[in-house]
Amino acid sequence: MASDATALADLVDVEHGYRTKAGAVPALGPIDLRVDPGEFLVVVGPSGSGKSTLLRLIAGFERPTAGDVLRLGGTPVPGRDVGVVFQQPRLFPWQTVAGNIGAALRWADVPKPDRSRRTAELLAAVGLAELGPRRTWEISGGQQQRVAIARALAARPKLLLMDEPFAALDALTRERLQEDVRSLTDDAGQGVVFVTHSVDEAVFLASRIIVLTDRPGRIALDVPITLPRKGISADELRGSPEYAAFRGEIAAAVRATVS
Amino acid sequence: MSVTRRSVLSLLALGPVLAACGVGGSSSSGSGSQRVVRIAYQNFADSTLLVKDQATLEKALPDHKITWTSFDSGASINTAFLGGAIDLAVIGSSPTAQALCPPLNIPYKVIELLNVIGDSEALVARKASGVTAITDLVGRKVAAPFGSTSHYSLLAALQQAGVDPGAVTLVDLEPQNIQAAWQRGDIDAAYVWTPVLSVLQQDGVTLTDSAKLAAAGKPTLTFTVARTEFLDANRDVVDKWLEATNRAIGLVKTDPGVVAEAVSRQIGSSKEDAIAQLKQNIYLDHAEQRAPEYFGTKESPGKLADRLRDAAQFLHGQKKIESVPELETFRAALIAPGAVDGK
Amino acid sequence: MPQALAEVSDKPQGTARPASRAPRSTPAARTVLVRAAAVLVLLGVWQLLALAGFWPPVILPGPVQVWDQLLITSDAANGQGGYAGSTLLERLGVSLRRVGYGSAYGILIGVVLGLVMGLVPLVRAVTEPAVTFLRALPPLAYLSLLVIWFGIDEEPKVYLLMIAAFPPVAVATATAVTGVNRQYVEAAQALGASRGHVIASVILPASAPEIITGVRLAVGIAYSSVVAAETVNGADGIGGMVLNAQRYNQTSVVILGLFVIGITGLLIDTAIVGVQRALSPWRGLV
Ligand SMILES: Nc1ncnc2c1ncn2[C@@H]1O[C@H](COP(=O)(O)OP(=O)(O)O)[C@@H](O)[C@H]1O
Ligand SMILES: [Mg+2]
Repeated sequence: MASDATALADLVDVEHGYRTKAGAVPALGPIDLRVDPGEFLVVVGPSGSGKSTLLRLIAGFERPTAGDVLRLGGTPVPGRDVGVVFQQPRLFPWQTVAGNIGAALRWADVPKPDRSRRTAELLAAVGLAELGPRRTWEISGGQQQRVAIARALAARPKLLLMDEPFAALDALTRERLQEDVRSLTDDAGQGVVFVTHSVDEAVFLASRIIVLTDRPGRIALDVPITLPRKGISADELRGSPEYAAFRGEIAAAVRATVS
Repeated sequence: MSVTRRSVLSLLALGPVLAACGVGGSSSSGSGSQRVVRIAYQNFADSTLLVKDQATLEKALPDHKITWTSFDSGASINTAFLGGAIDLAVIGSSPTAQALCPPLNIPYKVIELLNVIGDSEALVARKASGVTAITDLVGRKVAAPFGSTSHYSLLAALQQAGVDPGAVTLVDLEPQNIQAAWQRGDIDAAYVWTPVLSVLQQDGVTLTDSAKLAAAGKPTLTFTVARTEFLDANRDVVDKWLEATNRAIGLVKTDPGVVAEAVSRQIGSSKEDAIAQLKQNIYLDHAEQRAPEYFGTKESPGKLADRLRDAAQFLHGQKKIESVPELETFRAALIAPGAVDGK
Repeated sequence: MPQALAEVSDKPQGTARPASRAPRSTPAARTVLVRAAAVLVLLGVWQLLALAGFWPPVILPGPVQVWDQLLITSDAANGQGGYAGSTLLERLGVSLRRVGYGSAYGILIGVVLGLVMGLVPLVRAVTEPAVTFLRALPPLAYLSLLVIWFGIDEEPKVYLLMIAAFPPVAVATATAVTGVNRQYVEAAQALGASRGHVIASVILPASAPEIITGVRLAVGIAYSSVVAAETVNGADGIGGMVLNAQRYNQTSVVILGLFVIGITGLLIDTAIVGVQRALSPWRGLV
């Protein structure tokens, strides 16, 4: 059980429901799930299956109605040991692009003299080295989401949670960002939980995929994705037969959940 | 009893006055079957309220339409006269003097002296201030509602005692705020009217009052004025008015209870307060008004014109009027009551 | 045929373009011109009305007379030190100081109280009726109380203006704080922001545009209350001048005073709108 302490997230018998005027709405579970360092876990499922709920439980925005959620061995609270990227970039419009990252560094207690260097590094890492002084509404949706990713990585969180971050972007931008996310998160100690409803996106990014059933979401499928990634271009990967096989398996599982 | 009591709200009143002025001029010309008499009065205890309360004028002039409009200051009454919106008015000596001088030059005549302000307005010093005479006020804070009869009387009292007004700190405050400032000890003395005056007198020394100033030739007075054009065309109406007010003035002396009841009904005070307020002023019937101190006679005009000119000179010192006309102008504006019908 | 078609379809564009482009190129200059023209027309109509003599000049003086009063009351050497002892500029300075202090205190209290109201529903439930109550009171009604508590110097005037100014700021701030998008708060929390950070770096800047709208209202209300405030020993201010002139039928001075209050009020408001734009350029964009 010593390995439990190193789990990035550990959900045991977790259920979650929302209280509404019409009564309690079960949204998720029961579900058991463990995320380890180095994992890139992609959660796929139909709309309303509780994917966002799962992320919000791990992030600490919600407390489960039943069961236990642990993050790095403790009760999750939103903080700098977890990075969250939402579907909308949620950049602060009263700050510039650089200011958004600067705020994150300040809240992560990065000493003031280091912040401008770290800001430049983070912006360069997402390919926006020139855009620091811009206002947030003066850059494209894809660029905004890149800033949001850079901001979420500012505190070097052990766990990165991403909730359909590319859903609102066009196909081309989306593929480019997928490639960037893979390269930004291959730090061995880090883990990612990434929610999407796109099977292609899931297979391209994941080291492991879980498919959730229709509401309330339970784990219908949990598969490791073993694709060769080193020394192979993104296009080659997308065109490989192994990729197609995984794609077919996941797509069938997703289809089964809604029928 | 102030005649030029003011309120910030009268600024708002300018709008309706302007509107009234636009149509006002024509309604008094009396071309229709029913003639209109527009009377301006103010809400303080006076014998004219008995005339209003008992509808004396309405009964005496059944074929006339009589309207009574309440004004809160002499300044707003003057504005209404400028627009030709009223015919008769109850108004104080200070706004009357101003109206007779340029730039206003309002064509109206003083036809009656309704009262002389007595000890209802007085200059009081706080006992704790150690002030016992007007000359002690040098360097002290003295409050009065600026632009009021009390303000006029305060400056007249200082002048009489040989005190330079510049050596006294004059403070502009409404009566209720004078009371508050007095209780806090923020002011050393105040010239103000009842009921605030009675409160101040409980722990104050009365240095002088308007009755004393009147005796010394600085009276503050309340008049009836009539628009000249109206007066010329409606002698009969004016006579009925004078008859009614003269009877009311007589009643203040012989049967004050009746007048006080009418006053309390009209301004919503208690009967006791109304009696107390009425008694603090000096009332003269028309015969007494024709004494040399007041209107005098056609042959030997009285001192009233000089008093009005004094008030005008005071206003000129304050830069509130352009110039002070000759005494003759003021004499021409006075028509002794009872002399209207040639007596 | 293609050529003819091209010509036909070009025509409306060709005529529409210059017409729609010319005004678009200098919208600011055009606005200024239109406003200046409107003011000139109004002044002209006013002068004509005054000349026509529907009302005597003492009731409706023309712009020329009001202008003369501006010169007279600005002249310290005219024998009455401007007007009743102080020049127009001195009076304006005195009144602006009162409005400045009153508004500043009012804004400070309004923002702090509004913030607490917006963050703590219990505080809001308790204080909101009180704030609304205070807002409904005409300043003249509580002026005597202020004199009893604070005397007759600057305090009652400044506090009156403060009491007039703070409710709109408090209400605007509370509403803005309650309405701050939860998404920004969550984003900040996930980045490690403490409660203090969230208030200072998210809730306040996100509420700034609405708070400043409250400030605009507050300064306007404070300025329009200056006449009421100066009924207490305030003969040296611009409101005191209006009161004094009104007591003596000096209508041109009254109008001058109202114009000075109105125009300086307009300038102050323009400055606040400028600050609002500078502080929250994202307004209407995100
Ligand atoms: N705040 C909420 N209040 C009530 N019901 C909610 C709330 N958030 C989500 N739900 C419900 O919970 C279920 C799961 O929602 P969510 O986790 O957002 O699903 P997904 O992200 O997979 O689309 C849905 O039926 C949704 O309507
Ligand atoms: Mg979702």
